[in-house]
Amino acid sequence: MSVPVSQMWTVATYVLGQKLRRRKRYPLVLMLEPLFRCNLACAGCGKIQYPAHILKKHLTLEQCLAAVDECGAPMVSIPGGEPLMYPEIGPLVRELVARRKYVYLCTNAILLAKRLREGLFQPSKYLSFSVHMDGLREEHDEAVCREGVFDQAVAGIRSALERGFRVTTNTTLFDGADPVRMREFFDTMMALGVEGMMISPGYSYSKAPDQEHFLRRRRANDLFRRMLEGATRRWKFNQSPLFLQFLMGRRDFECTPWGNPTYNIFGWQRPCYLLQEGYAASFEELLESTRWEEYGRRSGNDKCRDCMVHCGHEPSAVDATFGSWRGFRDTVVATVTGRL
Amino acid sequence: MSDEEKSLEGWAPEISDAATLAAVVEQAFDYRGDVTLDLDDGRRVDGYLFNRNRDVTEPFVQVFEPGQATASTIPYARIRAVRFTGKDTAAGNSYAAWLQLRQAAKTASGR
Repeated sequence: MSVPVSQMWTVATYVLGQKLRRRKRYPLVLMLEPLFRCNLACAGCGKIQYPAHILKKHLTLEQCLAAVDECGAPMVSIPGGEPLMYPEIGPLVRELVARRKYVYLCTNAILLAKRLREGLFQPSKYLSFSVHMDGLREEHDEAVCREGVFDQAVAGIRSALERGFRVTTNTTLFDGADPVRMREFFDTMMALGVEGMMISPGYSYSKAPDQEHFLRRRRANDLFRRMLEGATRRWKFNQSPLFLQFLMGRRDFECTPWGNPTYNIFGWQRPCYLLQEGYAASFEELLESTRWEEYGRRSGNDKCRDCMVHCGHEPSAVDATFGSWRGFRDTVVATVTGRL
Repeated sequence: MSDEEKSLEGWAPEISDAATLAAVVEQAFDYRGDVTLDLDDGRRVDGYLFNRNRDVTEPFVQVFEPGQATASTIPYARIRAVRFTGKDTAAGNSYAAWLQLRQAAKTASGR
């Protein structure tokens, strides 16, 4: 695991604090979507399938900061859309760093080198560029439906690393992914010098009509096992080792849909980052009025049956780490030995 | 386009009662294009219906109209008709459709 010690400490004290207060539902990572506009048009991406007047909208800086303060999560992930197209991205990141939030700016990196040359960001332990990479050149360019994007992303990563920024990658794996190629991809990313990698199986947004191409649970376990079995110590993952073990089918977690709450131009999204079943006007309203019992695998909800995505299950893994000595011990052992 | 991908674009359902209205609003909520709402006072609202809530005393929908900074909140009780007037931005944009197009292009170019 490659999460810096200061970040681990922040998360650990935050989670333990929530447990001491006996808070049943608490957020871990705020998914802050300032806009849906993107400079790519990946097939099946539900985030960009909106009328033009919606794609032109974005949150104000004040709305973003109010959501961050209201939510209180120690980490803020900024996906989108493409956040480097958000006109207030520089000031937003500065404000979040000033609030000591650990920021993951999720980007396809097409604009990264340009934005860095513009001096929009300063290196900080609180800021990490999380670059979307769905595999090696062929797989990535196919996933984003445009040739040349892999090379642009690599150039963006190099540029950020040269300037002293933290860089991680985030990879969504779809049905048909080749474990051998993915192991090669992990080697390539680590050789590039990224701090760590994040991986997750894909999920179809309910409004994106493509269902059959997404991994089902058993096939997903098999894929991740073949991909991660005997993981070399060179591979660093910027996520909980218990979550990786969950992906490999070695432990089971129920979803924690409130763990990564999502805020965007429509409000606080119910119930999670992936499903859009309505919006609440405030974070408190989201927590209080969402029928949480209707979500997660045990609920029997068809939409949740095969979901193993990080946004619902990584908070469960983190909660498990701090929920028992055994969870804590397993996390420490996996972190120290690198064995999953 | 597969059955699953059949678009509601252009649909203008008859709304005879509250149950039908609720069902049509659900479809409008899932629709990835603008809709037109005809209200009880003869006014028409064109925009993207992004939210609805029936679990409150006065059920409502929320709509972003083009050019408006804030959303309009409209009670169900005031809605007389819902028409799917805007382009369906999700139709035909699945990953499967893209793979088919890509394969066809490769075949055509002899690759």
